[in-house]
Amino acid sequence: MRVAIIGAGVIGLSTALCIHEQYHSLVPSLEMEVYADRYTPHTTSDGAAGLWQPYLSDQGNLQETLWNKETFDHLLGHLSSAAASEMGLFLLSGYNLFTQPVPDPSWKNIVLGFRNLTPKELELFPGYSYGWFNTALMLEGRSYLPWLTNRLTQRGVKFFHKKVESFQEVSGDGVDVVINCTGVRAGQLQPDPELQPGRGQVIKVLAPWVKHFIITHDIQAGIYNSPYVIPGREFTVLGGIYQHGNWNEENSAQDHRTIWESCCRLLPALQKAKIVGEWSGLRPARPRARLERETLRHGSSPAEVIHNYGHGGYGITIHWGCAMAAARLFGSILQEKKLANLPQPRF
Amino acid sequence: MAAPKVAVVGAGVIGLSTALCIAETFPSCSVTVLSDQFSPNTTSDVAAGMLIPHTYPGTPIHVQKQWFKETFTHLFAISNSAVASEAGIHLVSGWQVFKSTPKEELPFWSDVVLGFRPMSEAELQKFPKHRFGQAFTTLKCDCPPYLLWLEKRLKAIGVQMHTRKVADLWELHGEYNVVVNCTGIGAHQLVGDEKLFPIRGQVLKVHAPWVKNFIRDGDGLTYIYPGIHRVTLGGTREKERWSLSPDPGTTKDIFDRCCSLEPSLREAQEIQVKVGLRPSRQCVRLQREVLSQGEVKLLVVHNYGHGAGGFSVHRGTAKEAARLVGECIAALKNSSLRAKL
Repeated sequence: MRVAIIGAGVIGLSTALCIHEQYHSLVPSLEMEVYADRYTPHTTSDGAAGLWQPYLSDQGNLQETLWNKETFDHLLGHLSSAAASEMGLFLLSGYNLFTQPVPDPSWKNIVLGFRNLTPKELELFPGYSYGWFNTALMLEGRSYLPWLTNRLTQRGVKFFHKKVESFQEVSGDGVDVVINCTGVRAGQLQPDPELQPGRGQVIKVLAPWVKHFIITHDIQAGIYNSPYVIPGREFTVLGGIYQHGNWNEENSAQDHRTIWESCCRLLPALQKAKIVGEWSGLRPARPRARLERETLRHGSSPAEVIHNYGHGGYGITIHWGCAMAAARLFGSILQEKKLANLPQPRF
Repeated sequence: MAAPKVAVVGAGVIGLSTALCIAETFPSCSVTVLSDQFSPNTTSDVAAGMLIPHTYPGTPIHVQKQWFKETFTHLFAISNSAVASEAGIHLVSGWQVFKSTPKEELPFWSDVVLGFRPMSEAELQKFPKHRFGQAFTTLKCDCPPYLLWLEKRLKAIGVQMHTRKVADLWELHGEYNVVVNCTGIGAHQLVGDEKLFPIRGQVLKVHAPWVKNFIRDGDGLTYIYPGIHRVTLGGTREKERWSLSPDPGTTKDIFDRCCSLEPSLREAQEIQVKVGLRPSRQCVRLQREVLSQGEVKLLVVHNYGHGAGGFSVHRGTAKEAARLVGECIAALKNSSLRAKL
């Protein structure tokens, strides 16, 4: 049985690993291949800071909240393991800041130690009158993706550097199941008007004295259009740009100024931080992630596709829950195929 | 009377912060810092510089709390300013965990640090050997940066600093009107204070930049304090031990204990070992003394014996020492006036 995963960001690689872990012993003939035009460190997942944090509101989407929780708990379980460091996984505490009181988020009981900020803490952030403190997790893409790649390579998964132009290209080649983890460019394989780029830009600086994430929110401006500071292992990410519908992957000087000025206002000491990089990426934004099966009927045989894309700015946050869900869909495909191949009863 | 000349002996966190307080409070004074060691070779440089107070049995709690509060407030403002990184001051959050519930559930400083609260069950799961814990956010003074920044501020207001070993306070009699004794463990020899004793601390300073939270065992022996560039792993509290040489067996023991609290530390790199002697005493010696040799008097202000709590109270005791220096200066003016009559 041949399985092809298209896309090698956090979604593609984790889905591949999840499926392989669960089914390779059940399906001895399982052959898995990954196709992508971009690999680490050039994927969207590599540019993200890597903070586990869903959006403020789950918009009634309990399914996604459960997948977020599944991911957090899965990662928390790995924290004490020898792999944590190699995975780029560590605990990080920090602040979410608002200019007015807001309802508690769906994830308040998922993270550790969630509480409101005290008046004294708010003195640190002039202009903000309300906020949260909690301990969450960091999972840096630039470490996690290579770690996933190593685990997959050890399992005999093959990687191909190739831009797939159509599902048929892969399924027509004898692949039984295609897993579509193409993120923001999924529309090139199958039009999806609900999928739009949520362009972001970040400045990478050296600011090792910053030990907390700080995420500000401007309810009018929308998610991630307000400054944020997220300290990683080696460098700190400054951001605060979310431009819906903007496909431009070039860095913008104006966005640079917006990020720099607003972050330095938030943390004056950042003025002394050394800038070591800048990056723009396109969040694969969608009202909700597309995680479902599709049977494509064209040509000789139907092709089974599992879509797993459209995770916006919370891909790392939700990835494992989605990988598990995709693995369950894969399991149902296996069930159906086995039923089809069962020997006829003999009387 | 000419501008009073004040000598501050000692250039650790106590000496430098005291000199700064004196110079800022009495701009007409000439202040000089004398020390045989400057950063990075002081006891303060070995310490992590965490603002978590140590309790002095001989000092009233409300006084210790006042010192801590003054220090915290002062550093809080710096941590929030543009010079925070230069001064080496930064906020850090974390957990203090206990294997058995402590007698005192609310330490006296719990309302001075930020967000103090008991740890949740979920948080405690990360520490299977511990049954109770406290979460809070406090400040850290990274050394050498903090001491170097104090030195820079001192130079900027005209305070001179000289490398000089003072073997006897009387050496300074002719040159200075007031001597401020901030010699830490050095006071044992310098003024023969038998009540002052070392509590030896060995620590590791490692490269583990993914550790962003502090973890401290309530027994005070095992702790992980992330600084700007290095994480301090500790430690030991060896009473009356004077050796400044690192002990390899202790190094392994500290490392193992810290890895038990934070397993990812197994990947730590560039392990450096340091030893410091906490200048310990029942209470901080913060008082005036008039030394006399016949007719000749030497006005002294003592500010030493901060033990494990130097960073936590340094600004508070520096201000009190400056106040005492003010009393000395007033006394000098009085006696010089009287001499004229």
